[in-house]
Amino acid sequence: MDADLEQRIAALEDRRAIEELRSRYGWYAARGDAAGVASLFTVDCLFEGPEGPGRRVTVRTRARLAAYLGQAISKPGSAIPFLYNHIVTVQGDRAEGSCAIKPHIMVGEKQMLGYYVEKLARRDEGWLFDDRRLYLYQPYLELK
Amino acid sequence: MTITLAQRVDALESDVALKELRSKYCWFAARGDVSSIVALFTQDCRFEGPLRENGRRDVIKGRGELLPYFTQSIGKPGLVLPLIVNHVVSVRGDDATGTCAMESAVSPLPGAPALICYYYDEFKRIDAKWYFSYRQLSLYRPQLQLDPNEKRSVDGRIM
Repeated sequence: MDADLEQRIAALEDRRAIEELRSRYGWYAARGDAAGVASLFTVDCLFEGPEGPGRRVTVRTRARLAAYLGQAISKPGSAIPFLYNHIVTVQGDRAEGSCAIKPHIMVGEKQMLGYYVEKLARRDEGWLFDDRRLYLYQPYLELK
Repeated sequence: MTITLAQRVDALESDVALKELRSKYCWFAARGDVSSIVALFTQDCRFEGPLRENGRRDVIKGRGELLPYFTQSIGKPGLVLPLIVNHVVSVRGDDATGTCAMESAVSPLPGAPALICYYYDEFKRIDAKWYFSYRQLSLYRPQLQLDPNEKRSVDGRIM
């Protein structure tokens, strides 16, 4: 097989792996498996998320993320993330992209909706989230 | 006819690119970024809005008409928050067709707090980049817009 074709197939494989990484995140999160979620991130990762209008929380490193998620998503079924609108751009061992999320959480009368802006890195164990930031569409709009 | 490995890879790449084109449409629509939405269409595109009470659709031709149409309908952030599912794509060389479903928890349509919709899509590849050449939007909810005389298949082809 010529090198160009191999490269194009590898790019398709990378994209599929990254979409599946997002799916695995949804799987572990639905089960309240904080360690499982944290295992999808690089050791020196960054996670950022909403904490109310105008307030954000930033967590660095996989170990701290596991502890944080142990509080935030420890109850199975409290969030059931469905992911949509995948966008991925791969460059070598780095990638970036976005996707939308509906976690099936009601906030008052509004369905929570959001989107992730991500940077990913390829490590020995495969693609991992290196920098993942969650923003909300609902119940309040955070546009990036 | 034998399909080469290169053609199969091209078909997969096109499938990915077309789904991502729809995702980008959603990204820009949520932000009311209508000029970026319009840039996803061919110059001579055609967009058909949902059926109105009079049984007719808004028919928008070309990027020039599309910009004011979208500015008026979804030109502010958060007027629509589209999530796309059920992608179907059929690629033939530099042309493609397809369908997909869309839900939005908010709606710019009067009297419709939320939307569940579907699109018929046609695409063209120009200089190695895919664009929408045709989009027709119809509703599932709040009003079921199914045409009993529909002339298109699930993969968006005209039958």
